Parts: sequence; C-alpha cells; structure tokens
Amino acid sequence: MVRVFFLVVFCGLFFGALCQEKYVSQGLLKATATISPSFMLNRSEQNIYLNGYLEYYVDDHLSLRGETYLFIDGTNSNPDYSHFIHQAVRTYFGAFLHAGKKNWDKYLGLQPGLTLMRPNSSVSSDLKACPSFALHAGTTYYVWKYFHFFADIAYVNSIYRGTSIGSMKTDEIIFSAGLGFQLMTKKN
Amino acid sequence: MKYLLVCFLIPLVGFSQPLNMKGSQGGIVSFGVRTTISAFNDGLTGNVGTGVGGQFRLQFADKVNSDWFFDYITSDIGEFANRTDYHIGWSVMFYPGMELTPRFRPYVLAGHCFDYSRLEDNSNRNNFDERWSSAVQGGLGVHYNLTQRLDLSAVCQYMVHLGNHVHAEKENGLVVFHNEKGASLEGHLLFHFGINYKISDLW
Repeated sequence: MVRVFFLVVFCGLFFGALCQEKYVSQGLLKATATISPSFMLNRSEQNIYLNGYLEYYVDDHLSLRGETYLFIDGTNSNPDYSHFIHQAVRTYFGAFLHAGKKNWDKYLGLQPGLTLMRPNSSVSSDLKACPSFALHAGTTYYVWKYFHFFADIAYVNSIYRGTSIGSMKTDEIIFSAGLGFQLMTKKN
Repeated sequence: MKYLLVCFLIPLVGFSQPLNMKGSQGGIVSFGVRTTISAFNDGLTGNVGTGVGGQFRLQFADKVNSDWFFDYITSDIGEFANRTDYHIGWSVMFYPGMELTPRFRPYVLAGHCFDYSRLEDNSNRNNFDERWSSAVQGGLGVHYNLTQRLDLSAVCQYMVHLGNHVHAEKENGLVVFHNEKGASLEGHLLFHFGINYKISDLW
C-alpha cells in the first residue's frame, strides 16, 4: 500500500511538470474504480473492497460524491478465527470540501450512508441494513484533462446489531488509491 | 451511447449554475441526506442509536421553510435485544434572524411524524414486538451555507411518540416485550447532521 502511494505521488510529480493547467472547477465530473484494502478498528482483521465513486463539482471548492464499497474478501490475523464479514456493500452520498492549487487538489468529505452486511459468524448470519457514515481525507493529482491519480483514506462507522451476544462494531479505515477519470462538463 | 451521456450530463450542468431566484426565498426546493444519532431511547437501558435518512425541503416564505424527511434508526436494548425505528414526517422551520442569506442561519422547528418501531430479541428473531404510532417533534437547528446552493445542517430535536408504550425486559433469563396501552409520552432526543442541495426556485 505504501509503495502504491509513493508510486502515485512520484508519477503525479513527474506528469505535473508536463501539465500545469487548471483542472478543478465547477462542472468537473470524476469517476474511479479501484481495489481498496482496509483494517477493522474493533477486531484484528483486514478486508479488501472493490471501490468506485462518481463525483461532480457544484462549485470550485465543493463537490457531491456517491460511492460504493463492495466487500471481496478478508483475513483475520488470528488463525483460530474466521473473518467477521461474509458479505457487505457500503454505499454513501455526501459533500466534499476542496482546497487545491493548479493540478493538485486536497479534500475533506462527509457522507451519510448505509451498509448491507451479513456476518460470517455463528452469532448471526442475517443480512441487515446498518446505518453508516464515512469521513474522508485525500488528495488528487491531475495529470491530463482526462486522467488523474488519487489517494484517499476513509473512516467508515457502522454497527451490526442484533446478534446473540449484542451489537458488533464494524468500523473500518479504508485506503483507496489509483487512477481516475474526469470530464469537464462546462466551458470555463 | 453518445445521447445517453448527453442526457446524463445536462442535469449536472444545471446543478452547477447559480440558483435563479424569482424574488423572495419562497419556492426554493432542496434535497439532502443526513446521519442521525438517537441520544437515548425510552426504557431502562437508554442506549444510543444511529441512523441514516434523507429529506427534501420546500420553502414557503423568506423566514418559513418545511422539511419532509425519512429516517431509519437502529439501536440496542441492553445486550439482549435491539430496536429499529422508521420515521416519516415533516417539520416547519422558522428562521428568526433578520438577514436572509447569512453564513449561519439558525432556526426553530416543530412538526409531526408517523413511525414504526420493531423490537427484537437478539437470540431469537421470532420473538419480537412492533408498534405503529405518530409523534410530534420540536427543536433547534442551524444551516451553514457553504454556497448559494449547498448547506450543512445540524439539528437537535426531541420527538415524543403518542401511542402504546413498548419496551423489552429480561425476566428469568427470557426476553419479554411489554406493549402497554395508554397515552404514554415515550420519546427520544435526536441529533441530525445533513447536507442539502437547492434544486430550484419554483415561484
């Protein structure tokens, strides 16, 4: 993960020297799809999600973003236990505040959402809808008018309720990084 | 494919235009999503719940707005049961301030709500009780206007349910639900944090 991050930063700096246009402005539409590793905060587990989002800039410094994480697989660092999540889809929609210069953008975001989750557990195996929210921080480096590199860290909060031993916190820190696509829908 | 893309992009372009105001603030329609914390629920355990929801707003006049909402809230009842609440309702919001477009805009709200609550035994999903009821709510809120179209809103409101009182207890190792008839004023304190986007000004 660290290697990927440094690779993104290196490539961003390299391509940044080639292109110094203003990319972030009202009307920008962005989309990505990537593989996102995570670790759970309340148990010794790491998960892998397929992550994608669609984002639209309503202002030079504000965007609306819809996002989904689809659970692929997980591992528990204790070999005696199986991982907690069997199936999960986390879906969010919210607003992001951007502060950037030229082709480097930094942002913070808040997204209310819903997590559909089925545990891989003897205490419950019901698919349940769990209210959730996500807090994001990240950066984007625009390398061309259609491509950008990005790195994002998200804290997602959710609780799976109604197991025979009470509720289970399922908070996670999820990392995403990779290539994204953008399109300017408005002429400046 | 090309036409599909154009059809998809046209409404987005509209969203990034400045809001075309037709005189007063009456007629502004906005949509949003929100996350909810139910600070305590009635009952011995008083656990905190979390929820998610959405709303649309229709502003009637410069100082009067309306909020039409849906919330889905889940919470624990001790470690032996859980409850799920669905709220659908509306509130009227009154802005006491004189300034019409300040960065912070506080308001007072009051309204009605219909709700469905389901209480469930954690170890046996077939052991449950449910209740349909109505509620009234009142509270305080504030908009933080990030742009002309987009605002963040924080609300604190107390919701009183009018109807049967449903609660769960553990008796002799078994989870038992009590559904007591009568005019009980069961309630909970709700905090909402939401994001709203103004779509258009209708009149």
